Amino acid sequence: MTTFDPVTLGILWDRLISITNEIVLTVVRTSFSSIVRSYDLACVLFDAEGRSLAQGTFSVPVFIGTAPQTMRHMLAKFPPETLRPGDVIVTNDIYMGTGHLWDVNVMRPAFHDGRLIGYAMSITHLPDIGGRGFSAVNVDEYEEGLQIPIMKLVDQGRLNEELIAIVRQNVRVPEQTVGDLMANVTAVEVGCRELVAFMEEYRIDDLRPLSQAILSQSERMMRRRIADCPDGVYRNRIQVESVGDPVTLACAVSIAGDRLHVDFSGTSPSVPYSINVPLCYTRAMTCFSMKALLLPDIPNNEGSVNPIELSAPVGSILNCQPPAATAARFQIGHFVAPLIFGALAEALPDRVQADPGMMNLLNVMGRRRDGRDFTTLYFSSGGFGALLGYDGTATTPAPSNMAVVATEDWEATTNIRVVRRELRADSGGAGEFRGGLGQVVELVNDTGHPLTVFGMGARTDFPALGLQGGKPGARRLYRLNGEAVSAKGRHEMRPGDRLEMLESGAGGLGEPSRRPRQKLLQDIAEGFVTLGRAKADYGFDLAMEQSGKAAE
Amino acid sequence: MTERIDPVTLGILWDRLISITNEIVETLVRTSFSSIVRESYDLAVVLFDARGRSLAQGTFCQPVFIGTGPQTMKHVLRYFPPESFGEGDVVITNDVYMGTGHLWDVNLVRPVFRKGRIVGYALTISHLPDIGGRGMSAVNQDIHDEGLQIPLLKLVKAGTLNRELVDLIRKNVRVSEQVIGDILANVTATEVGGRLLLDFMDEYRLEDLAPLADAIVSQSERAMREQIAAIPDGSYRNAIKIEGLDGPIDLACRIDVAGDRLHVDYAGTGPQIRAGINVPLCYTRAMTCFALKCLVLPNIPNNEGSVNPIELSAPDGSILNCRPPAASAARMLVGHFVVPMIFGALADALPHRVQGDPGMMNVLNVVGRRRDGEPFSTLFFSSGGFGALAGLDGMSATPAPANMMCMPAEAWEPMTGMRVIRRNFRIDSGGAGEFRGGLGQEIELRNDTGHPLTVMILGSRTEFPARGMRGAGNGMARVFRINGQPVHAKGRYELQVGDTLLLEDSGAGGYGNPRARAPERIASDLAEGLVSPEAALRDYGFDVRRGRAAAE
Repeated sequence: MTTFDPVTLGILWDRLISITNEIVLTVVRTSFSSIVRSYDLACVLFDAEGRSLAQGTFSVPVFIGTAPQTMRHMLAKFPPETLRPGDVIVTNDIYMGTGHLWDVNVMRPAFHDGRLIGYAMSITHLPDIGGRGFSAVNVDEYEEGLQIPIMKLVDQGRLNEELIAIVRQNVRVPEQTVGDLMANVTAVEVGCRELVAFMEEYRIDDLRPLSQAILSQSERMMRRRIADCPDGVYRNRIQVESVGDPVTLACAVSIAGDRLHVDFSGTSPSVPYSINVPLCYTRAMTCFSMKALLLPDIPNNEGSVNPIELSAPVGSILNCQPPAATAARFQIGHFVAPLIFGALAEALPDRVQADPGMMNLLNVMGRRRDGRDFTTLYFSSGGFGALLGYDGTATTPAPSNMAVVATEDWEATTNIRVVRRELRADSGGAGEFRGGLGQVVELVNDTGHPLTVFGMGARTDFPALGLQGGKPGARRLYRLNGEAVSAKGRHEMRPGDRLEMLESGAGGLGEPSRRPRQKLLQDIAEGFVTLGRAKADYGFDLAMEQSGKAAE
Repeated sequence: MTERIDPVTLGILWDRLISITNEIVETLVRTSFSSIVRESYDLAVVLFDARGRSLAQGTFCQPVFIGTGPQTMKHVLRYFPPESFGEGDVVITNDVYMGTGHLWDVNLVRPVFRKGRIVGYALTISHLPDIGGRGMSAVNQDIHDEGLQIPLLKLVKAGTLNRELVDLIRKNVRVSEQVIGDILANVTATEVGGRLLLDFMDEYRLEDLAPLADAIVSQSERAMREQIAAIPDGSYRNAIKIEGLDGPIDLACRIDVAGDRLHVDYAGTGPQIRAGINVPLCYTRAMTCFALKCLVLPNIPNNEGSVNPIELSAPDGSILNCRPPAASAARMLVGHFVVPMIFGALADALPHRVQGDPGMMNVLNVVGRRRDGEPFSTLFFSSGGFGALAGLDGMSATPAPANMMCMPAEAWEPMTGMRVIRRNFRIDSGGAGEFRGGLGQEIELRNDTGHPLTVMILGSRTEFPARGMRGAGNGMARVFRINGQPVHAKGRYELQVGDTLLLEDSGAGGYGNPRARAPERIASDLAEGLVSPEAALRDYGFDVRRGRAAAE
């Protein structure tokens, strides 16, 4: 069949998504590192032309933005006619992958009856890639770690032992890193198998009509949503903290009919730290932002973001060039989302979100009590920005999609004890709809060995701003043994040293005075807002309320 | 076959083998891209028999490589037993422990086949202009800072180059054209070496190198054992302090001689540190063998037999036997001192053979861009003076115990765009003695590239000058100045456009009582501007006026 009725299309589409979810599960279950268990991954299916069809529900936004571009680069180097069953292609190329060396992109062609019918791709963040480590202060790409150009990891079923030997030699935790790499290999094998099974079940010889239907429908819907926005040029400019001086991010979103172009002119130049953003990542963040605003209800695929065009000055921090360092590109790149939301706040007042507290990453390198070395990431998060009708959820990352690390997992893997982890009262920006709270996380080095931590936290200088009268959230703060320290630094923790991370709150939306009393009372009861701040920020005086009540 | 070879034939064949290695050196020098090989001869070529015993080396070789080469060969044969080799195979590695002690040196080994059987191996080693990572500097903290690690792998299989491996190396290094060019020059050189070896065997109708190898090795070993036996039995100790990064480092040795057996123990040596100056055992062994061979058996060519009798041990985790993940880029800054330390230990046993301390070689690693924008990453070699010996003044600007050629200005200036403003002998820098220590030079460089420049200084002898032997005076200490200000000898600096770097190279130690120096020699020193009248009076008791009067 070459056309699909809506019901069938819906069923098939859902089935494809569920296949990607199975790939995600495979990766998570077979991976070695806790990073993958935090869902720092993506799984995407493509048709025979290399156009993305479906992605796993638990995916990191950036990957589903970069994967289609990565696929194109891979097929440019290995054209479809050169691929064979059992081939697996790999790369961690900064510009052709996801924007930094830690993410490995693994792709496998799917064959059915000898014909190439599609591709499965799996991307995960590796625990280590050698080099100086995952931090914000690397100077250039050469010190960031091992670069793997687009190459065959498996050649018709035969593993490239030499590449594995090189990876093993160059990374700090080779067991985990190679283990995760192979989990990706397994995942794409499962993905291809499921894709073929799907085609057999529904007696589909060629995925292209289905992908055409999905893609064209998605693109049509996105164009309609764009056309619904008033034509115009919408600008925003924000200051974002950097390692050195703050940088400026600027955007101009031009909407004309069903065409949309985001221009990042006016953005500061690249910096000699590892927070530069390659264009692939900028594009991914742009697509994510626009989709969240305009077309959140349909699953992601290439069609839904085709209409989005963008440009950024070459050499700017949103379009960095070699040999820029990019490890912590999210530090700057994540701000594209609030930048764009801010630009469209007046055009789409009902849809925009107040600034999020932002995700937080702590890279830790150390040795456990049993002498085993580890290198891993601790994810935590500030609050989620308030939306019209919704308080921001606490400790929920945006625009990322990482799961914060479970204490049980963390303590067992690293011997770093989580002394406390509680919501941070008053951190959410006041508003009719309150910004999400951050947490307070306190870690103690119980490993018995020195521990190196690299902070990559933003929102220490510039808090999450509110919208439409909403107030900013609390800023992020780090304390080492009680003393304030940089959130972007490298710190050495001796055994027994304590690190507190006070996560940032998100911005609120709407005038705080309009927040319903009932909600405020609940905030107070739950400890989200203290009495003092209820009065100062919301003008809500509980004592007066109660005495007023008593008087009634 | 056990035919014995008469001395004349042995001499001829042995010389031919050495001349083959010299031809390989020439090939390497002519086909390499980087000035490090072409101008500075930072390389080695060694031929081995079928058992992997080193037989001959090129005359222009780095001492360290001919010490590590045989050990590397043993590792190669462990991973690749003869039956795993085919014709046209070439193995590569830059492994720190199996190679030469740091990642910059690439080792290539080619089995040489004759009528289907391996008759020997050709090994070439050269220092690459870049290996990624932070760069060759003393301030790297661990091996992950230092660059791409290439485990023992086949670079060429049956004549086919592993292009994926080449692409991967290319991706990870700066100045990739030069790096790949140099690696392929090594491949060519081993091929030339193999061919020449086979021609040699044809010419002399040798079916097998084994009888020749047995003769060379056994004779050399016998000669070395005779020389060792000539040293009075006993324990000879020395301990020296050398400069580190933030504090001096202790090196200690004890040489036990008993009959024809010799053992060097480095117990008492300080621990490895978190800086790029740690020394793997392979390098310590190489320096030990070089020192002892210079002292007791300088006149026969190097081969395995001549160093077989030398045994050594160094405490695990000491700075002369570092363990992973130690950084070792600038291992020579510690390792080179093994030689003067051993000379010092044997100064009383072999008084007429030991040498005044050398001024030591100096290396500047320079990374930047030329006027035309082309990036470069290269090394500027210079040297302090050569130590004086009994009967021989030390030569000036001559490295020991390395064998590098200093960088000519004609090559340096066009290659980098830096200007060599001046280069002259540093008057009075040579240690006073009956035989004067060699002088260092004053070399002033200016950044005329039009871009900022990174300079990583790998220098020593700023705190502990070269000591004289047997009553002689010390050489002058080295001084580094940037824009006139003294800077640390192991630092990493940015030179802005127009900034100058002045290198006042160190002098070497003298030999013997200065008051015993022949007046004609002092007069000649004065005439050539090597010694000032003030120093002549102060150090040698030579009054210029009286001296001249005495001559009249």
